[in-house]
Amino acid sequence: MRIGTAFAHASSSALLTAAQSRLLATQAELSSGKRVTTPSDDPVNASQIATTRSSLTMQTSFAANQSFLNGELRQLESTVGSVGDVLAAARETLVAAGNGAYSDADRRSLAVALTSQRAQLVALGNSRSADGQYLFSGFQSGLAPFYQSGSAIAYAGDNGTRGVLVGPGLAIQSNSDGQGLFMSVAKGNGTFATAASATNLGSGKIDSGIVVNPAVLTGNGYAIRFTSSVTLDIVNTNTNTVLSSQPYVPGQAISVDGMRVEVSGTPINGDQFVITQGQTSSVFDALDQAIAALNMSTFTDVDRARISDGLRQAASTLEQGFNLVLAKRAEIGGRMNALDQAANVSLDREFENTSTLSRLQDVDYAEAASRFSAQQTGLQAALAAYAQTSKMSLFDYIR
Amino acid sequence: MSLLSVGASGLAAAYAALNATSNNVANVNTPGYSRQAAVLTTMPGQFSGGGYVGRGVAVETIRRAFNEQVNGQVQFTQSQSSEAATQSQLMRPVDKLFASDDLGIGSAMDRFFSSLTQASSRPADMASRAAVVSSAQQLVSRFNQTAGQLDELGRNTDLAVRATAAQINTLAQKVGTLNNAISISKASGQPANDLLDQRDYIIRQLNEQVGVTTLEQSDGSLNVFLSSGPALVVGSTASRVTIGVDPSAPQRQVVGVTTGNGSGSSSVQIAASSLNGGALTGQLKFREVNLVDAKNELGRLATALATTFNSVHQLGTNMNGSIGQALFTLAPPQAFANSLNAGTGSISVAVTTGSALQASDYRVDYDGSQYAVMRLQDGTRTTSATLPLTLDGLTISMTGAPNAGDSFQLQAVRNGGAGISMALTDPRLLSFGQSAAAGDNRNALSLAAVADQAALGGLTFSQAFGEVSAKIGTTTNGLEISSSVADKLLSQALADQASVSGVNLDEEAAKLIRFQQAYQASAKVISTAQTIFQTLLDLGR
Repeated sequence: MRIGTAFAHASSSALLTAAQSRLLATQAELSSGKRVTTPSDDPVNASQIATTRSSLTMQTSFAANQSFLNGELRQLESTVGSVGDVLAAARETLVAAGNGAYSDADRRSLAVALTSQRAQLVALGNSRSADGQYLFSGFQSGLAPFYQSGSAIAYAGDNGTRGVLVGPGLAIQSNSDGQGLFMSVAKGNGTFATAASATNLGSGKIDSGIVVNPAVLTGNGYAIRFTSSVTLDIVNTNTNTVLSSQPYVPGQAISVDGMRVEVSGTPINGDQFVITQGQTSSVFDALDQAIAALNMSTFTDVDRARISDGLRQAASTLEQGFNLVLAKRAEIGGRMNALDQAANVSLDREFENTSTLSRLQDVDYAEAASRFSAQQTGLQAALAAYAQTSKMSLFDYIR
Repeated sequence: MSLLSVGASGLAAAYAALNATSNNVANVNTPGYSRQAAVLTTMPGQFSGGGYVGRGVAVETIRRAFNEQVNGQVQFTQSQSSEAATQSQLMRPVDKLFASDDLGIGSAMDRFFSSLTQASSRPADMASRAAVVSSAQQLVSRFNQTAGQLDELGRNTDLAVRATAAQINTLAQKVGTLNNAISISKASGQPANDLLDQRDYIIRQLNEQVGVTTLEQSDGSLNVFLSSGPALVVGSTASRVTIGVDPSAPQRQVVGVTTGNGSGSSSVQIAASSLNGGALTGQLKFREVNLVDAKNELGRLATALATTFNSVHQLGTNMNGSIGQALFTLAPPQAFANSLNAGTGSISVAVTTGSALQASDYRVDYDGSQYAVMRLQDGTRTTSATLPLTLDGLTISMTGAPNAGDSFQLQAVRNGGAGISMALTDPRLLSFGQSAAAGDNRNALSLAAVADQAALGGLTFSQAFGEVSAKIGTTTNGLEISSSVADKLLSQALADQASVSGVNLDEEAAKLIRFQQAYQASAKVISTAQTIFQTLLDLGR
C-alpha cells in the first residue's frame, strides 16, 4: 500500500498525541487517587456509588443521634435512680415514725424531713436535659411537669413518647412518662388497698393485707363494718350486699374473696375499714398524707390509730412507687442495650460502606503505577521511532 | 526532420512530467490535494514504405490520482466522526453535573435527609432546625444551579448551531462558485484538477458541519443534498440553511433550507431528527435529546422530592401552632398549544402523585372525538374520550374548545429543577410535631422516614439519583465509544485516500530522477538530430 508522506506524518503525530493523553489520564488518576470522577468513568457502578455515599452520610447522622441518645438515657437513668433513693429514704422515715415512743415533737421533725424529701422529688421530677428540655413532660418538654396547684402537686405534661432515630427505621425512646412514674402509683399492696375510715371513733387498726387466692379476686370494693365492738359485717360495696357477719377477734385474719386482712385494736360500733382495688395516688399525695399524719397531735389512742393508718397507707404507696422506679430503671437499661446494639450495627455498616466505596471509586495504586510505567515506556518508544523514520528521505541521497 | 520533432516531443513530454512532479512536491502538505501525473500517449505512426514510423510522444492530459469510491468513504466517515465527536464533547459537562461528588445533587440530598434525621431527635432545638432549613436551601440551590448550567449549555449550543449554519452557508456558496468554474472549464475538454480537488475538499469540510450526499451532473457540477433530501447546492445556485422555531414548542428549533431571496424564495422545513452526520446533527441531537432528557430527569427528581416532602410536612404542626405549611414551592408544569391550532382549547397540567412522575415530555392530540396522550420518551399512547385524565402522576385538563387536528405539548417536569424554591426560611415554621408541644417529634420522624421510602418509581430518592447518574454516565460513555469508533473509521478512510491520492516524497524524488534522465536523453536526441542535419549541410560544401 502506498503511503502518502503528509498522511504518514499526521497519523504518527495522532498516535503520539493519543499515547500522551493516555499517560496524562493515568497520571491524573494517580495524583487524585480516584479512578472514578464522573459517571461515564464507570456507568455500571455509578448507581451503587451514589447509594453507598448516601448510606455513609446517613451513618454520620445516626452516629450523632446515638451519642445524643446515650447522654439523654444516662441522665434519665441517673435521675430515676435518684428518685428511687429519695423514695427509699422517705419510706425509712415513715418506718421510723411508726415507733410508738416518739413524741409529737419527734414526729413533727420527721414531718420536716419528709417535706424536704417531697421538695427533692419535685425538683427531680422537673429535671432538665442538657438541651434545656424537661425529661418527664412527654411531648410538652418546654413545660415543667410538676407544679403546685392548691395543696397538691399537679402534672402539666402529657404521655407522648419521643423516639430518636439510631438506625434506618429504628427509633428508641428518649424521654420518660412523668405521669406513670410519679402520678399514677398504685395504692396498697399492689393488688388492693386498705384504709381506716376517717370517721372512726375507735382505735382499731387494719394492716395492708395479702392476696391468698388471686383466682377468686373480684376487683370490687369491700368494707368491714363493725356492728358492735365484737361483731363485724363484711360488705361488698359494689353490690351493696353483706357477704358475712362474724365475731371480731383482734389480730385474727379476716378473709374475703381471695384477700386476707387483719384488724387489731379496739374498734367500736360504727367503725369501718374499707378495701379498695385499682386506686392510684401520686407519690406527692402519699407524702402529703404522711406529713399530715405526722403533724397531728396525739392525745388519745384514737389519734394514735389515725396517725398509724395514715403512715401505713403512705408507706405502701411509696413502696409501690419504688417498685415502679425499679421497673423503669430496668426498662431504661433495656433501651441502653438496644442503643449499644444499634451503635455496633452502625459501625459495621459504616465499615462495609467505606470499603465498598473505596473499591468502586478509588484507584488501585499498584495497578495504576505499573500501567503508568508501561505507558511511559510505550510513549518513549513511539517518540524514538518517529524521530528515526522522519529523518529518512530519498532527497538526502540525490546529489 | 522527424527526428527533431520526435526529440522535441520527448523533451516536451519529459518537461510536462517534471512539471507535474514538482507540483506534487510543492503540494505535499496541501490538504485535499490529489497527486497529479502527466498521461503520456504515443503519437500515431506515419505510414511509410518501410512500416509505420513513430512520431513521438504526446501529453494527453494531466490526471489526478483520484478514486471516487474512496472519496465517498472519506466524506461519509468524516460526517459520522464529526457528528459523534461533537455530541460526545457537548455531553461531557452534563456528565460532570451529575457526578457523585461533594458538590453534586446527590450529596446535597443526602445532607438534607441527614439534617432531618438529626433534628428529629431534638425538635425544640433551634440550631438543629436551622441546620434543616440551611441544608434544604442548599439542595434547592443545587437544583437551581444545575438547571441553570443546563440552560447555559443549551444557549451555547444554540449559538454553536447558528455558527455552524453560517459556516454551512459559506461553504455552500463556495461549492456553487466552483461548480460554475468547473462547468465552464469542462468545455475546454481537460479536467480542471485543482478546482476539482478544491471542491472535494470543501465538500469534506461541509460534511464536517452537516452530512451531505452529492450527485454529479453532466456539465461537471456537483449537486449537494442534505442527508434527508433537500438540495443545498444545485449547479451554481446555493441555498441557505436557517434555524427556525417549532410551532408546537417555542423553545425548540427546526432547520430550514431556503432557496432564493425575498419574494421569490421558497423554503423547506426539516426535522432535526432527519439529519445524519456532521457537527450540526450532533449539536441538534444534543439539544433535542440529551439536554432535554437531562433537564427532565433533574426536574422529575426536584418535583417528586418537593411534592412528597410537602405532603408530609403539611400534615404537621409548626412552632406557631399552624398546620399546612409547605416546605418547598414548585414552578407549575408548562403546556403549549401548537401555534397552528385552529380551536380555542387551552390545556393545563397539575402534579398529583410525585412518585409516579416520568422524565418525559408529552404530546396531546385531539382528533375531534378523543384525546391521545403520547409519552414522548418511549412513544406510549393513552387515549381518552374526555379530559381531565390522570397519567404518570399528572392530571391533564382542557379548557375551551379544541378543533380536530389540534395538538399540544406538555413539559410537566422540564422546569422542576429551575423552579424549585423554599416556602419557608424561619426554622420555627418547620412542622415537626403532630401537636404544638415543644417536644413532639412525630412529624419530624415521618419527614426523616421519607429518605427510606420508595418515593420515586419504586426507588428511594438516593437510588433514583443513582439511576439518573448511571443513565447519564452510560449515554456519555456510549457517545465516547461511538466517537472513537467513528474516528478510527475516518482514519482508515483517510489512509486509503492517502494511499491513492497522497504524495509520497520518495516516489516523487525517484520520478524527478527518471524524468530528468528522459529530458536529458531527449535533449541528446535533439542534439543528435542537429549533428545529422549539420552533416547534411556539410555535404554540400
